[in-house]
Amino acid sequence: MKINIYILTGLMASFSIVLGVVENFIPSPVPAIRLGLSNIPILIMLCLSETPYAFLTAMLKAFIVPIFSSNIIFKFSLSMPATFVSFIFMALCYRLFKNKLDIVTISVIGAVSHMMTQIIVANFWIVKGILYTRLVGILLLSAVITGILMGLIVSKVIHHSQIKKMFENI
Amino acid sequence: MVRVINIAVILFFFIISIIFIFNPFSYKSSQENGTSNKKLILVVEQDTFYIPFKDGEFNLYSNVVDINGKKHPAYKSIDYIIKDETVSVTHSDCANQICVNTPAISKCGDAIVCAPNKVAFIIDCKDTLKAE
Repeated sequence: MKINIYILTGLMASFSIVLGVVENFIPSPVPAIRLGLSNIPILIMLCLSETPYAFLTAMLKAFIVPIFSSNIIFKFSLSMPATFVSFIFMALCYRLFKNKLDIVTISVIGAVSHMMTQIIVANFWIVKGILYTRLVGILLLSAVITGILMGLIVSKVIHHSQIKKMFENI
Repeated sequence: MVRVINIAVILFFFIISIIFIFNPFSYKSSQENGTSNKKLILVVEQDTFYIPFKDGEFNLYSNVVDINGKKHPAYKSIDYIIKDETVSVTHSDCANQICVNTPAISKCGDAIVCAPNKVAFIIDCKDTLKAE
């Protein structure tokens, strides 16, 4: 059975949005650290589909997740540029170094660029001076660790026969 | 070969984050003459200034007086405590309460950030603001 790519994009975007909202309720040992679960569907789309559809998934997630959380304007101002930059980095790395970098590394690059963009945006527009604090190191380290974890999950998922079959039927 | 590149990339980011944690760039220096040289920076919106680092319970409900006696408008619903050169935020009206849940800070370069209120407390040991 053929699956329309737009239906699949919508499905993955909604999956990403649900994960993005749910992870707000997961307690973290250090405040401001998030798992990045919503990056899983974006990475799956990037690996198994075409880049524009993966981009659409990422932008839908960045646009809708802040609506479901408190402080919409603040979350939106951090989420949108961070998702955009991290997607550009992930897509470039995936398309240019597909044979050299595996999905775990691309996930780490995405997580680190997402976190770095948020910190830079926060430093210049929200709270001046946080770029040089120890908090940056802690957040970057957490991004590396969560990036590895999410990358491992994605590498398992994209090699699953059912998922592969679903994307082959587009 | 592929495996080595992947490990190298992840290791690179890991080292960068460790460097930032030990933070040689700013807000940090060793103690001089055995006395503490810690200062407390308060960031409100785009206004950055030193506030007295003395024990007590404080808030940012109105103007905040810096170490030179100059008043800075804050008008944020934030309470904080300074005790034995540690700072902790006890109340904030923001939704996610990240600043309240951040453990008390005491080391050079440590920060408590309340991004929705655009407020940050940073412990400085380097006279960063005076250097600027």
